[in-house]
Amino acid sequence: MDEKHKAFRKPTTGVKAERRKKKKKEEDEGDNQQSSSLKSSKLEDAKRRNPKAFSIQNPIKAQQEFRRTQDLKEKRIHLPEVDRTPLEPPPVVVALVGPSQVGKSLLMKCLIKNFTRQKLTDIRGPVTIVSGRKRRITFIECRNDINSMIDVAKVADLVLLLIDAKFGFEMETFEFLNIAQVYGLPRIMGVLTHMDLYKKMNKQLNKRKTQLKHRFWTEIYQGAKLFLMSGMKHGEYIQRDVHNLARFISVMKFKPSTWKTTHPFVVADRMEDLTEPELIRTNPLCNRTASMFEFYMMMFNCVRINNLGCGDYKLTNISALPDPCGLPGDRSTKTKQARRVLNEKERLLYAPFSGVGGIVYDKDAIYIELGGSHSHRPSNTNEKTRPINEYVANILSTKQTIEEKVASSQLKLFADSEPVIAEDVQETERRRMKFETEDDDENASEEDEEPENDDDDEQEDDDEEQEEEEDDEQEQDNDDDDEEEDEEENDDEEEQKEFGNSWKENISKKFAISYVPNKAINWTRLVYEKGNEDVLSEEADSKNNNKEVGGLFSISKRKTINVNDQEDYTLMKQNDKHNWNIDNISELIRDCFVTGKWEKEKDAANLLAEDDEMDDDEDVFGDFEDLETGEKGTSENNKMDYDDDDDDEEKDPEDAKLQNKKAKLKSQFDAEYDQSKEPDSKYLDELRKEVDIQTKLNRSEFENMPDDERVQYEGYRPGMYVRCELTQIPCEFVNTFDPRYIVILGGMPVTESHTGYVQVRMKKHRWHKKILKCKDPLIISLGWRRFQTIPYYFMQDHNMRHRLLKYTPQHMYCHAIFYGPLTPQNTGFVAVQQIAGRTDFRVTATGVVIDLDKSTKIVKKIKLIGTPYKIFKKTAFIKGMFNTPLEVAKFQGASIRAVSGVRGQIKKVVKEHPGAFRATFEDKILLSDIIFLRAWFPLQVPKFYTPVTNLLMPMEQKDQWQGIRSVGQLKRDKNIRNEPNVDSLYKPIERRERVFRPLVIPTQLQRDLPFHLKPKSGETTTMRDPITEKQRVAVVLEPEEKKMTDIMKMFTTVYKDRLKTKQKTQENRNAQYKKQQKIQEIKHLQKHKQLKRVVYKKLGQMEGKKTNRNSRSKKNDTVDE
Amino acid sequence: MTLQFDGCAYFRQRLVLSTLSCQSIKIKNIRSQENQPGLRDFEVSLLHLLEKLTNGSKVEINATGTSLYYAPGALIGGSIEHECSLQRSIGYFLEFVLYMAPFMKTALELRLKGVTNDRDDPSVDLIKYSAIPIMKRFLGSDDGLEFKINKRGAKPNGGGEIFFRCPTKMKLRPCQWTDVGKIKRIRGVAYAMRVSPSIANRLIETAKGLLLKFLPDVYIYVDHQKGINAGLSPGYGLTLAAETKNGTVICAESCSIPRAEEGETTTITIPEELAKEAVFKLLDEIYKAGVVDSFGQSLIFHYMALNQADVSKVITGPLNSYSMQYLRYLKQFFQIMFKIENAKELPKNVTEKMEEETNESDEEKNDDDDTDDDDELKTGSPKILLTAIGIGYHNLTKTLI
Repeated sequence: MDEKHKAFRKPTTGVKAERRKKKKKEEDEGDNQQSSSLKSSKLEDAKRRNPKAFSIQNPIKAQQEFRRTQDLKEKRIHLPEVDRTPLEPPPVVVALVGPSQVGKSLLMKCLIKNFTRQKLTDIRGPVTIVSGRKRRITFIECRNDINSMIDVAKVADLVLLLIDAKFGFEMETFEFLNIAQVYGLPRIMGVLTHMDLYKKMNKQLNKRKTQLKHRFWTEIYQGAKLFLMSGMKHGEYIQRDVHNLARFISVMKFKPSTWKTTHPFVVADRMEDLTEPELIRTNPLCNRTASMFEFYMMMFNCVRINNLGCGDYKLTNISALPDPCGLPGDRSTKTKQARRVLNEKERLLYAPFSGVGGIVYDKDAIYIELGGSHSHRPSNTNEKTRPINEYVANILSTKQTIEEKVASSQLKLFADSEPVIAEDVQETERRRMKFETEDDDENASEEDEEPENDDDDEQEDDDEEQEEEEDDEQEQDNDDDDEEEDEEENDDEEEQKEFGNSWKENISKKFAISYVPNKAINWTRLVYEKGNEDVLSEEADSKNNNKEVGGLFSISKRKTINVNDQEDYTLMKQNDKHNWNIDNISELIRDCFVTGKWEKEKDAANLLAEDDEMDDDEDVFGDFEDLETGEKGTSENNKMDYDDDDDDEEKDPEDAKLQNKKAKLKSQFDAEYDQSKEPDSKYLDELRKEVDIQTKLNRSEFENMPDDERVQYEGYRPGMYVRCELTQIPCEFVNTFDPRYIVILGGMPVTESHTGYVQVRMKKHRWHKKILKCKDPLIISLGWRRFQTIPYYFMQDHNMRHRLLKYTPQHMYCHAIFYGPLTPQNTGFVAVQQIAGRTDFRVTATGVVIDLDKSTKIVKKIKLIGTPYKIFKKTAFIKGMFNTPLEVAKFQGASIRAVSGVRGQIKKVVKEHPGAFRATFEDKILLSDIIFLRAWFPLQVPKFYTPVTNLLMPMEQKDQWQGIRSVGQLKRDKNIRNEPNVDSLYKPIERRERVFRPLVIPTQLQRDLPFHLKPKSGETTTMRDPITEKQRVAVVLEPEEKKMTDIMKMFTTVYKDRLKTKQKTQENRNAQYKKQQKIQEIKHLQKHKQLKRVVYKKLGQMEGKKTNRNSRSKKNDTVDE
Repeated sequence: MTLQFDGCAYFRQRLVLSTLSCQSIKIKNIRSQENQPGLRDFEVSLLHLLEKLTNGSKVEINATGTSLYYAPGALIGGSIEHECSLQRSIGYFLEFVLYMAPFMKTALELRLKGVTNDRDDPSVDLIKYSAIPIMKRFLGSDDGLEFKINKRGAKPNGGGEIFFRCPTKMKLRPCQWTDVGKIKRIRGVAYAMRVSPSIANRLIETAKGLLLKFLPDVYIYVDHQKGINAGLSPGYGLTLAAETKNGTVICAESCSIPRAEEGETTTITIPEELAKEAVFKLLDEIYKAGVVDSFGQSLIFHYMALNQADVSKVITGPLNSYSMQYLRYLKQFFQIMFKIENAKELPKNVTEKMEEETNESDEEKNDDDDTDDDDELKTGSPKILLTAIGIGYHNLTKTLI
């Protein structure tokens, strides 16, 4: 069929060809002139001529496309949030994570060396360095242990994920990635180490690199950074590689997760045991007081602190200390140009756990690093040899600030205790330096302050008293202020007269104060200082004693009512009479109304006048009108002009006013211009603006306040160096303290520091091999806390019922509920089955909190089974479902169901059997039916919650924490095996071969069938029953029996013969009878015929007569006519 | 963790803050020195209401009723009906609920029955006028916020009913409300239950007569209830509300003395006197008010504190003892301190600059900074500026999805 067609040739003559030629000619001309404009106009033309071609061809598709583009557009938009980060940011937490033997410590050393030019030999705990003018970095090394990985994932801003290129990815890497995803993925950079084990520029190496890279990308995002540590030199990574990495770290931008911005935390970089040594001596296992120090990342004061891996503790004291690792920002301002590069002095390094950082300031002491307890050299020479000597030199200058600090501090930690000196058991390397004057100063200052305050109070109060007394004397004073006060006074008196109680005294007192307009009241002191209230009330009472109502009677004074015994009224009681004077009052408040006087900048008349001025000004800049019209090209030009004008204007200082106006107009124009650009984003812009304003306000509100005061209102800002003091910490924490396990203090708002039922949506991790069993304990890391609890898994049915599941689904989300700390909704969590021991993939499940409550609604399906013992038509009596009539009564009216699917209802108790009842069904049930009642049984989730306290474990067993074991594990450990229910066991199934009856075709049908379907001869159609056939046995008869059967046979044949003859005669007789019948019938018919004939004849005759008569009469009629 | 308190004072404040901060409290010596020691009926009724509002809360009262232990549960909200004690009016209970209403698990639909108007507590009308605008500001909109007085009831027998609906919020909006504005109109309601309808008219006549001296825009509604809607006891009263241009509402009210107490030596049950009292109370409130009247002070502080971690600012008049105590309790329960300054102390430039920052685009830079201070505006008592950063409160009970 491959016939070749002639190719199509465009016609060279004719109408179309001519038209084409013309068009071409025109086009060529157009190109010469303005091709683009012509084209567009042509398109317009075409659209006009043929609108159908440009209309939407496929509306549904177009709709879908539109929707998709809108969706994508919307996806890009983020809800603007108030930026709560402070201007001086906290150090960036950079965590080095990876399996063991991958080179974490080495990389950390190299990085620190790169940043600070200092070489650390033994790194323990976090190391904080100053990396730039605006940035500090805290490096932490993550132990290869699931607890540490979880903790690090919560706090890290940047994670350097180390991968052994020779070995490939290890389980820990992926475990960490999965953990980190739950807490809001931090920035992650991969670092490939052990590259030097490959030969240089090997093909295999390249292959490996791409392979690793792509796997890494699928896990994080396409194009995630992956660094190569290409080799080693002098036992360190090559400087160029490290430098590149360091560059990236120091310029990277971070967006902290919501959790981190709303929940404070502290990465402890120092820990001191503050317990009194005497206590430790008497009881070495007593609970300790410890203080931790670090950069605080928080917004507000919190009460509870969760020490990750140690439990919950109350924060007894928190205070800000001078920053040991401050940013060098202020120094740069002194120099003329701010340099970006740090000088040697500014490259600070602070790592107390590693023994670096030189001098360490505490609230009441200074620690100096001496370089080990065995160094007996004089301290000066010692310091000179160390790189920290500049700090020591600074002691004198900094001493002043410390003293101030000490003096201002209210805490009397060591007021009565002996100074803890170098003999302290824990501090073998450090010696505490103690100021002699410290305690005295503190006490003295406190004592000094307090009496002063009292005096002030008293003085104030005295003044007021005096004033009031004066008022009493001159009742009708014309002074407005006094009038007010006076009235109040009057009210009170009347109240006393009426009710004789004086509880309102302090209120009136306060109002009396407030009514004196010129007197500035220190409200902060009035509200927040202790004992204020009592003073006032007492004083008022004392005043009452002197009062007399009349000459004869004095108020029988009830005993004074304490502040605590006042009745709870929002407003003052209203039972009083006033002597109001409307003129006085109106004089006081006349400007509260729109009819009163206005502020200058809001007064309409004033504004009008100003506006007029403006109009005059606008004439000077005549082109403003053009701006308003919004023509883009011209407006741009105008704007430029305008800017130029601005410069000119600056030269003559007289027109500052004009400039202001111009600025205002400009901003107005800018706003309008911005809006016109994206008309859709108006709402978003508004929102953004609102958030912007709030951010600015948040930053500016407390900006100029001294720090100690500011902290009261605002809490400790992120980035402050704080000292947190915790009490009642178990002694194991201090005794087995290992700085290599990072200690994180997480703060909790008041509302989140208690427990309840947490409902989560969760999913078993795909790589975890087993599904999870309900009621098996699980270690969950939620919020700051890590704890073990017993979750119940359930599904939410369509009617919102929480139906218990025995196991989690394989690859589907399910819900779980457990007893644990209340954590805000939308917080992610990660679950681990056990910490100790090696398992395959330890991340068991991940999920998110959706609900918090104090009770549970979880139910379990239960089926009660009964059997009918008596059945009437649709009524049946059922027993065995319940044990007592009471139970039945509880379930009266419940719907039940038979196995066959017949539905019914429980009606009433029957007394025949205990727990039997009458039930009705929609149909008759069988006696063999089983009756079900389906019910839901509420479950109680056990209140089991225990924090994972791995930091309290002995030194080398910190990753061996073991909580409660699951039932399965217990059985395995104790070698217990349950005997199974015999009925539940599987037995070999015996199946009998089934034999079917052969097909029997009725003879009638056989006859009608076509030939090819007819059973052929030989096939007996009427087969005997094959089953009986098979069962039949051949019978061998005894001779006597044979005789009997023969005789019986004979008899039967005789009988049959007789029957035959009988039948024959009967048939004959029948035939005769039928014959006779026929004859008779014929006769009868003939007779009938004859009769008919006669009748019809007669009828015909009658008919004839009638017609004749009629015709005759008709004729007559016609004749008449 | 349990906080200890003494005496019966500020009972509601303690319960509210305990519930919202989830800290258990113990109150001892409740009227232990009085002839009738222990909790009163209305306090027990309040505890019953609280039990209906929460899930899993625990209340233990000792045999004499002088000591109370309360362990709070989760606020569940939903549709709740409560028969309030007749000793105190519905305002006592409703005010208590207002503090917690936005933090429920499901939207609150509350039906309270009892005394709607009396002389001791803020009446439902006052709450409607005063509290709803405040709530609107912090909730962001009045979507789902509804307040209806179905029936009125006076003391002693009550019989009134109100309906209050409030949406739940994950978090409140911070609020900078530092401009009081001028009063542009005065509204009010004169209600009469089981008395002659002319009484309401008499109230209005007197009140308008006085108020028209200040402002032409005065309108007072008559709410004369009949039959079952008028409750079980006679009574009447007047609630006035002055609205400013900036949405501030300043309220005051006065109510008749219940019949049982009428033997006492007061003349206030004369409608004219009562109206006059209400008017003067309103003027007094105007004198003392900032952006809220004295009723709204503690409420607005409450919402400022239980907000996102953003700066909120309000201007008020002199603090009353109730709100001062509330500030103290807020510090005790939530460790939040308010910055309290006298508004006049601030140099004018600073405030203006602040305003400029907030709306740079359209605010005109003040040319003549040296405003003449000699003719000061008579706007009542010296005002106080309160600033606070919210504690970052988050509704922990609301269900996601």
